Amino acid sequence: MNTSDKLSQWLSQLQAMSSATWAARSAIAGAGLVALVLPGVQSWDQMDAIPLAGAFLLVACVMLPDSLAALLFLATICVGWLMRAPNDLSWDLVLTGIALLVVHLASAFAGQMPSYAVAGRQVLRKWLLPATIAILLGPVVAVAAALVRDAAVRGSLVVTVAALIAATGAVWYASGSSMGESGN
Amino acid sequence: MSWRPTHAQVRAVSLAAVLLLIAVLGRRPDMAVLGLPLAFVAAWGRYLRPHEEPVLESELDADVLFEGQATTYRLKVSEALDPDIDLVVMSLVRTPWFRYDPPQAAVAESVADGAVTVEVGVRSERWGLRQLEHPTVIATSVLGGYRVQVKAAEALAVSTLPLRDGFEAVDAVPRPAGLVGLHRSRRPGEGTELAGVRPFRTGDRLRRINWKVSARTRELHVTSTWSDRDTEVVILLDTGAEVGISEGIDGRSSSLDTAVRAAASIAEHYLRHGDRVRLIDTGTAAGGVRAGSGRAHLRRILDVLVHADRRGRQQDEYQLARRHRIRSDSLVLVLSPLLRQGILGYIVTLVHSGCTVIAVDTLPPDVADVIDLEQHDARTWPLAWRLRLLERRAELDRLGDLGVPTVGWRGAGTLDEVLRDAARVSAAPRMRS
Repeated sequence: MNTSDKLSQWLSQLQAMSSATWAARSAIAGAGLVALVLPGVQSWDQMDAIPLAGAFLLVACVMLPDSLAALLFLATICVGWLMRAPNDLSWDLVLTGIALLVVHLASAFAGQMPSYAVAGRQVLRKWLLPATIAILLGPVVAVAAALVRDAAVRGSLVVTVAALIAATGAVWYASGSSMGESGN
Repeated sequence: MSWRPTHAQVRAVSLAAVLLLIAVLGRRPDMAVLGLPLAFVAAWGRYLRPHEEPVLESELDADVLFEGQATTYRLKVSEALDPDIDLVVMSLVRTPWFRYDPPQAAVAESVADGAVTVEVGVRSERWGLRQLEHPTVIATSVLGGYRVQVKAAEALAVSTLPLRDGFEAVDAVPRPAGLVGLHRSRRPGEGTELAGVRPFRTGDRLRRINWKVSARTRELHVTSTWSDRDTEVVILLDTGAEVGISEGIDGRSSSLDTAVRAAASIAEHYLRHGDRVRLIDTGTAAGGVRAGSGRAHLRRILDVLVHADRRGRQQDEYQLARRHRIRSDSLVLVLSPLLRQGILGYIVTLVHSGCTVIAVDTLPPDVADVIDLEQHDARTWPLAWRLRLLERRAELDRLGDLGVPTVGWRGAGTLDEVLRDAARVSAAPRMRS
């Protein structure tokens, strides 16, 4: 298949894109744009490379949702916050977190079917509860962290170790032993 | 194949791990705000990871269709489905001469109550026997965390019969073997001679219903008649060349398309009227069918016509004359683009043996405009065709001089005029030499 064939096939698939795929990819684009723009309007000075790399990765993410592009996009935005942002909890951070989560979920949804596949609304039935909880988790964690910080809790070493163990346990469980297996 | 983590699951796990690690070690609560929702999504996906691979089976509502008819390709779970499976996505590889609904033949269905059925409409657009390609089936878990490619279901074949338009011709047959009054026809069919009263069968005309008997027996009965005539109709199908472009039932037809569809329509018409119909293939692609009558015989002819698109060795006029002996009182309908010398020579042989021959021209009218620019010269190709068509016109005129009328296929009514002429000629008094 030469380039023109691939291009025409891609165009025909674009033409035949289902409404579910349109919605998912629009969500990726919209939420990705929010995640890109929000750090740019902050008072701290963002690295110049972040918007450029982010924009390129966002386009790749919309085109190829079932690829590493989404991981790299999320990582880029997080690196932008990590490198320059002050260690502060703000509503912009919460919004960015929600936007990143939406990019992740929409990419996961769009990546599980071909762009031209027809899907009804009921395919999102099992997604609503975990997605809602995950979206609410960001603000809750932010508020809780702000409260703990202002309360100046003692014994922060114990809290840090406990959080580290909990985070490791959660990640270990989420990754599952199957990650490294070749199959049954 | 087993359930594998998707890019989404790997993304959620790795990002959550890194962000939470930085949050805890670097005392950065902002990273926890970004990482904890992802960790939750990853844990949810892991918790609801399916373990059983779904076993799916495919089926078609109907594996024998007429051209233009549609059926449903259905993918079903054969056993209990793992409740943690969220979505089953089926994508059929599109096969030529089939149109799908949805057009890209890909459907995603969510699992509800441990069951899922994925359906795709399939419309057959050209006669023939074809296999539908294996579908690609993928099952995914909740939040797209894990996926498995399900083993392909067995390939299913669809046989498309070349019969669509109702063909009608006048009842005039040059030399009917059975005549009402003198020699009653041996076969039931359309006629006026009473054969009996029998229960209604699918396909019977409503006007044949015997209401008195039906009312008495409380079951539909029809009055059956003997056929008014009983002629052997020989359909000679030229499978030697396919000229023109075939675009299926809704587009342009090649010469072979027209010939096959015409053969099916003519056979259906004459069999409905109680005649005996025989099919002869000039090659070995379709094979032939011996003379016979009735509905089962129509099905035999249609089943043979389905294979006419295969390339077969063609027979010359001598081989045709030797292998296919045709009774002199038969009505022979030649379905051909009339381009090969072999078929023209065989027609002459049939005329000399006393058969009534009618040539049905299946050559597409726009044949000179069909140009393959990779193989043909755009300037000389139409000119070459014009010359060939002039030669062909002269050959058809010579056939006309021998008493072989040539008509183009137009569906119903195509043969009316030539059949009337042939009946008139055969009924006229003959001069003995």
